[in-house]
Amino acid sequence: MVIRFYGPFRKTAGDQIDIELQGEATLRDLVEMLSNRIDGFPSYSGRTTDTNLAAHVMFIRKGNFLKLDQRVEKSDIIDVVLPATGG
Amino acid sequence: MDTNLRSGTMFGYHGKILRVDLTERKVEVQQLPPEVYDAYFGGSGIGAKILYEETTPETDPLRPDNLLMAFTGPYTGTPVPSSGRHHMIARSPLTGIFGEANVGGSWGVHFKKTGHDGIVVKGKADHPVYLWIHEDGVEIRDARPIWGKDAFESAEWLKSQTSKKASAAVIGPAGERLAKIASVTHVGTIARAAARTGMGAVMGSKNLKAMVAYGKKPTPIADPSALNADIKALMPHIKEVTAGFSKFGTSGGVENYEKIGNLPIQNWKGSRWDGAKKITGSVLHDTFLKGRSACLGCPIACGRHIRIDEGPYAGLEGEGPEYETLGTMGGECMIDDLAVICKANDLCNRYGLDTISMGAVTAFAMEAWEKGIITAADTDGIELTWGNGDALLAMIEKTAKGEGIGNLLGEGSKRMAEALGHNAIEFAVQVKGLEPSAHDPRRFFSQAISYATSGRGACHNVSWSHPYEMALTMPELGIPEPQDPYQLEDKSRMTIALQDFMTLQDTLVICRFVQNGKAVNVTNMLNWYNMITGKTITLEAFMRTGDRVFTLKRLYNTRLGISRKDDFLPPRFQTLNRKDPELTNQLPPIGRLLNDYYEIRKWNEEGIPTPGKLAELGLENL
Repeated sequence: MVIRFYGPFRKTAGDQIDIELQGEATLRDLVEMLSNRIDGFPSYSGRTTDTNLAAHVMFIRKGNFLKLDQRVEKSDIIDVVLPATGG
Repeated sequence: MDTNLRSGTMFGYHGKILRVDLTERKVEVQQLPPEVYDAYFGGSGIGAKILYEETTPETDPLRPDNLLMAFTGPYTGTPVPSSGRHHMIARSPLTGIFGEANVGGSWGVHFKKTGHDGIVVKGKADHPVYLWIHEDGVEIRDARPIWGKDAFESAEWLKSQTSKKASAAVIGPAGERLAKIASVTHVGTIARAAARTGMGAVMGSKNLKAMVAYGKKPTPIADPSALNADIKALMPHIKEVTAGFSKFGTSGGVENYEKIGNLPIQNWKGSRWDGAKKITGSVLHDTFLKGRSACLGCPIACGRHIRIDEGPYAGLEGEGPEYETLGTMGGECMIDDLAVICKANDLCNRYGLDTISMGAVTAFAMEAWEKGIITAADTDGIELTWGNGDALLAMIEKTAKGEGIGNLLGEGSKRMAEALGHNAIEFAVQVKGLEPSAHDPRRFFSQAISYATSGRGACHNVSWSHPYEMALTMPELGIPEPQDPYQLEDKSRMTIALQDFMTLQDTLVICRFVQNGKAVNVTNMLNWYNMITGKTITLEAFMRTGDRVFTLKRLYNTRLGISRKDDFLPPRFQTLNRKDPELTNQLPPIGRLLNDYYEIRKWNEEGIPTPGKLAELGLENL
């Protein structure tokens, strides 16, 4: 799985990383993994709702926002971006 | 007995508004009946009622009989977070229909502290004037020394003539010369703009250069202890969930929105744009940002205070561009030079121009140039090519000063397209004459409904619904989960619920951004309303006020001939999709969505509110 970082995340975690997924995983698992294992990536561990997570960071796959309980696949390319709502 | 009237005190309000007739040079204080406050709350609600009752279809937006209004709401001047705002209302010279603009800063609070809830200005002064509004009343004063000056320079002079602590709602040269995309710049300790629908031109048409306000009268609150305790308890949550938004501001969304196909690109015909990453909020943060700026009483502080130290714009210091400005001047015009957009934003604030319409009409002109409809002979030799930042700056100058093609740009995209001919209306992206903000309805179907049905034209803020198709929820309004952006079922109902909710917020008056991260919900807002006013109204009654005011604006427009035929989407949104393997954009089926929308709203198939609906809302006698 490829994780691409944008905005401030790029600055602290680099442009992109490859992650080896073990077994079935959801976005929730991925958030835990990034929070605990990636230097420079803020900890979002324990965010229990999509709204709570999306207040800080959003994960996009093929133009769609991922939800915490959605499955992620080994072949995925996932973009990590700032949340925003425009004004 | 109404609890609001105990001991003769009207809680949440001062109970009176100012009436100014500039032709007669007359000022009156009017007591508003409590039932008007009960039915319309304030802000855009009372403004809509007065505009409906006191203007006619014959009222010319730029003639003395149009009304220029500014209204606060029950939240204004209270500790309610992010309520340092007010609402401006008039018949719009840009669209010809209901016009309004909501604005932050400090003017609204300072105005309400003069002891008034709103101001209604009619007539036309025989020379440029400004209003000095204070606790003892209003003075109509000579503004000739600052006529022709920019908004910031004017505000400094105005403060020197009144109070250093005052806030000034002031127009620049664009409003003076009646450019229909002219805004009203509000200058206190920070600057904010009432930008949309040409409120600056309405002020200019009245020879009204500015309204300056300062006072100290507190807003009476029925239960201040409960209100303070409730807000204090919620504040850590608000700060926690808005921290990211606070750090990077609205501009933080540029790169995000480009990734998902929401950012407009090349006058809405482009799909992807690498330039987004050069102008996004994190870049602004790492380059020109010197601090955050907040409207009065706002814990979020999404505003950007910037300074440019090097390059052609060295020395520029002030407010940084918002997402919408970056979306229209950046994405739509494909200008990836952040310094240029900062300069353009500053010029628009100074000259009093709406950055959304200015960016959008420039993008439209760039496409007209590309098609050969506009040539160098029309532009004094300036090449209106995509990405040409110098051209954008030149167009702003020409629009503000009424030079050459600037006269056309100042008319907005619709009128400019009609003047150009060559079927240019096909690529003039607007609804009812208003250019959309930087959110693509091909990515969020609720935006399609919102653009088509908003009372002021292509406006995203009247529903502010796309966040509820990304991450937000509001179970109280029947949105327990973020809704699929392309889902047709329930889309119109959700959009209506949010239109009513946002309209309600414009009557209270409070900023949309307290919803970010679900910092504040409708129940919080209801509780605060009851604590401030001493009332005990239900959520249903609370929301009905939003419905009532939204419907009243529709009534105003239908009286002017607006109907289903006007609830359209621009051809570009209906025929041209964005193409990229990573984008999921779709063309919105607006006909189907409108059918559902009218049925749920209880409007007839032509989009006219039914008598039954009007009776339900207490509007049957209008």
